Amino acid sequence: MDLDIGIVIEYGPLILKGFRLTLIIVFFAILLGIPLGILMAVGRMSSKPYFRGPAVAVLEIFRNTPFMIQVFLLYYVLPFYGLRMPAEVVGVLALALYSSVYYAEIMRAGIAAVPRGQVESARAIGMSHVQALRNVVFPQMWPIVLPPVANQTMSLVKESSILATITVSEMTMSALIVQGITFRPFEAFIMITILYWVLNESIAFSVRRLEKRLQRRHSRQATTKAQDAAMAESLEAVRRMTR
Amino acid sequence: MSTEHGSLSLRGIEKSFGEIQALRGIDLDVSPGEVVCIIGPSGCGKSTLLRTVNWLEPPDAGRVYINGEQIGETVDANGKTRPSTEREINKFRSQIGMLFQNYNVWPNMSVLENVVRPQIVVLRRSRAEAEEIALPLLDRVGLDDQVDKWPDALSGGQLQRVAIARVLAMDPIVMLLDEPTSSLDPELVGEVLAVLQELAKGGMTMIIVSHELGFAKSVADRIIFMDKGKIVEDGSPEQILYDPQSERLKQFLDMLIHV
Repeated sequence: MDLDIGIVIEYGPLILKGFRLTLIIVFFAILLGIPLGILMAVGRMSSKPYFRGPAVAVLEIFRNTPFMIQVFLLYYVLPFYGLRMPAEVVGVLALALYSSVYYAEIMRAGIAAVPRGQVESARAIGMSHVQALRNVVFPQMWPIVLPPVANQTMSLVKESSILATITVSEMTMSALIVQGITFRPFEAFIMITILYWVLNESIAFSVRRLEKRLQRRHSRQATTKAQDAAMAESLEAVRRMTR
Repeated sequence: MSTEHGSLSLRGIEKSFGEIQALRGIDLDVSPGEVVCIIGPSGCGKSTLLRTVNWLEPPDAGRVYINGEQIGETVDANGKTRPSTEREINKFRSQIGMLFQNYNVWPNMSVLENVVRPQIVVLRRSRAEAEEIALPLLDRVGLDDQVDKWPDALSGGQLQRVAIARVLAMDPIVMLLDEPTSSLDPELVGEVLAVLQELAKGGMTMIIVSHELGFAKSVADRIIFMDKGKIVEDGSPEQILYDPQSERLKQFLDMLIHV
């Protein structure tokens, strides 16, 4: 099948409109999902049952059911209980809740990776649990969780296409519309494939940059003269071998 | 029981972890300015004892008094006792300086920030005020040229001295030191001990869990030998080190000397 450039030109703007909505929905879902994930991670690790209980319940429900069913529950079932929200809002909420469960697991691992003594010294000096988290644990957790958080965010972007099923006119929906009008699935779906790729690749790229910056700062601190010497020595060895 | 500033009293402290009884009724009075060293075989409960004093491990039974004030229980306006709130316990903790074997300096902030941040967060001092307190303290522990460094660039001895400055900035009433030199390279032990010695001379009340018998002998006013969750012997360094009474202490000292 040859690419009909006319269709790309004619329906490109419609696809781009969908792209814009996808961007907006994803943005708010991340904005809501990451803090929610941190909250759930902390709640799950809490010794207090009234924190841990709800956190575990939400985690269990959202981790063990398909995303599409969660979307349907929020969009089709909640109105029976008098809660009717616009599809876009449901989309943001569903994506945020769904991802927050995975963010929570990542954050939990990240918090657990910070040595116990770090928290103990903060508590021993008089900080509350929350103050210790904010000043000592979270700053040390970020470099650890950054790569998996990026992964989860990219998967959030991909899951957003499911929102087409509840009439959110995001990017996948706009491609379906273009296909319906033109009967040309190739152009419609190749366009959004590229755009999804661009979006996720930009996320991956910025996170890689951020990661490098964090690493540079850390390695500058950690690098001792001995390490420099060892590095020079191994470089010299490589040079000798390749000569 | 003393209510003087810098006094510490323990009454009937008990603590169990599951089946294991770590502390079986500890009574201890430390007078202001006194330096008490706790020695004993590993697992004897000496670290646990320190950790119950500042409620990192709340004791199952017993009472802790600092300046005659009880930690963990508070007498309210009607004269009734109730368990202390988180906030009250945090306040107590800020008055008890604790040093750890692994220093536990925070790697996500500079040396200066390590000393400044807890003052701002816990004592609500302004940054300017906190820095004014931190800088002379860092000077006192010999780190005046390291204030802007990050912890990763420091040696173990320097890190422990950062931890000492960090604790001193909180104006502690007493200090608890949990094997402050045992993860240091031998050549770095001296610099930390010198700072601690100076603190002891300055009249700081200290309880030190340590294996440095030489240090214990030179700074401690009193040495306590613990075994199986109990205080077995309590006396002057001379008494404990040169004239042990119990069989267990004799064995313990023999073992240390032969190692």
